[in-house]
Amino acid sequence: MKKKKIILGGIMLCLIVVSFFIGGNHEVVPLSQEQMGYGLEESVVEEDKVKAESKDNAVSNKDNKDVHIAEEIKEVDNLGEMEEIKETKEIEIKNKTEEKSNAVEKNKIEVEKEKKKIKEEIIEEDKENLDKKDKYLTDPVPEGKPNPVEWQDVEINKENQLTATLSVTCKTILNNMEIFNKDKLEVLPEDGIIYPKQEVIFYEGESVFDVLLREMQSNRIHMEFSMTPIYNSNYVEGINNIYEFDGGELSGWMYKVNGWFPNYGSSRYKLENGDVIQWIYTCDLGRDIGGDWAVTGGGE
Amino acid sequence: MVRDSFAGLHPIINFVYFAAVILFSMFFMHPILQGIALISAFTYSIVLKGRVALKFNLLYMLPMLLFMAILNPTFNHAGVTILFYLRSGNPVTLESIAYGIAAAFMFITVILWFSCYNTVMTSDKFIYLFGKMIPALSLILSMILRFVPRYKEQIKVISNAQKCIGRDISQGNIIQRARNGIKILSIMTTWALENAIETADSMKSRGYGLSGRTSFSIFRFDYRDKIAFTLIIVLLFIVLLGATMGENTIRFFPSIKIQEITVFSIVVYTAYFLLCMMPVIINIQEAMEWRHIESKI
Repeated sequence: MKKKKIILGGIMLCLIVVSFFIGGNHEVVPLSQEQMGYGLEESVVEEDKVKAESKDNAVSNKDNKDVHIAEEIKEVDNLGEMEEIKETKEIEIKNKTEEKSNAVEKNKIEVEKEKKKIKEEIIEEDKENLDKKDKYLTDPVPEGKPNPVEWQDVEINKENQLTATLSVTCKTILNNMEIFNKDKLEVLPEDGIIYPKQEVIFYEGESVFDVLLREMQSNRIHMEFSMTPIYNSNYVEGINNIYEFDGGELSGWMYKVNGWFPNYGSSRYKLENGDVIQWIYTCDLGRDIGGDWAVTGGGE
Repeated sequence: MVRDSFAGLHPIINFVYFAAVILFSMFFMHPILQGIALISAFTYSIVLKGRVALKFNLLYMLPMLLFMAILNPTFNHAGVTILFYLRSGNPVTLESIAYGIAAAFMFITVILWFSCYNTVMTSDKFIYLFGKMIPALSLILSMILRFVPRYKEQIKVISNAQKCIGRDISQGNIIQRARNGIKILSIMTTWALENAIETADSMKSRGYGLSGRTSFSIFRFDYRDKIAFTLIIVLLFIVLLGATMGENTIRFFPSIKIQEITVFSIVVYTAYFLLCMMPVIINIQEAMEWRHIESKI
């Protein structure tokens, strides 16, 4: 009896170990910047420009130094003690370069330290934010971004027609086909665009969700959602029959307005005239589409 | 009840048959297989219990089927064919309705199979099969599986006894009736608890589960059983082969997709039909033989 039990336990342990190693561990491929679309491109380009400029500056500084050294050498030439001093100068230069490399290393360490500090700060902020969350568990919204507006408090003014831009895409699935639900292949658009970017009409006071629902219904695109009272917002489960969890267990629909992923539900985002709405499918909690801040709050 | 000749076979055959049939009707959502399972379960329950089963099936199972079929599309909105939109804004799709109907059929088939199981697999058979291997669990299982029919009987006994002293749920005004009903329930609960302990004590005092204990059984694995068993195994093999080839399933979401009907799939359907109808076929065959013998006299 005892032996049997031990053998049984052993078999179960083996099974667990085997399933642990065989069980899939897929790395999600993030979207490339071209796939990300218009919203991010501009800011990325700007960053690149800044980087390039700073590099140029650094290069020109170096050139200046070299010129100085060369001049010094020339002066020494004139004195006729060329070789000796040249040697000493070379040594000096070597020393200088060594110092430089040391400095670079120091810089690296400092940068890492700074990163750690930033992380710690973010985590601390998060802890502080626990008390600052509103009654629907939303962290404070960053400065300059619109605060959530409860849809119960808003009156929709049907007379005032405004326009926004809407698009619905799932390009990240194309990069991660191996974790995508094979049954859903027939509803996956080839280019990953379910609803191409276009101008839509909405009425004053409507939320991002209202616009999505109206457009999907009028275009007969399938969409399922459910009301989530603790977040006071509708949760979009699936669009065009591509549901949450169809692209791995970290997948689902996220939304982005004017290039920013709000950290609250789409029913609480009150639209302004000219807003650009993007509904994007993620396979990795937003990390693959650049929207992880909205999910994790910037923490680990 | 007429004597059921399938119930007269060896318990292992009864058990394998019901285990297979219940599991298959749970997992195989293919409409043809579901139809086969439902028809056979319905027929067998009538063969076993006659009119009572017919009344039960029509009175309770039919409304339940409708209810379940309607319930699904109100919660499940997946599927590519949008029929119309609910007031909340969610779509009602053809696929979710189809899935609701299929799930309702599956549910009812399984209930029918279990009602047949309860009549055929009596607790002595179950304990004969599993008493040696898992004594405690098999006792609990056999107690659980006859839980509902047994309590129904007991509640009738209690209610009859209460009727004699004028305290049944059919006597008095509404408040009194309610009080009587609660009283009957409380008596029932007391009896159930006491009975469970008594059963356990009685089994223990007779040495149930101890090593070296033998128990009397009248079951023999004879020629008849051998034929039936090989038949079941062969049919099971064919059906499982069909299952591995994906013949027995249907995909509902995002669009309904069934494998095309081929010669092989027809073989699988026939095998499944024979498997499900086996008790009925055995009964018919026995009845014919009996008539044949009678006519000779």
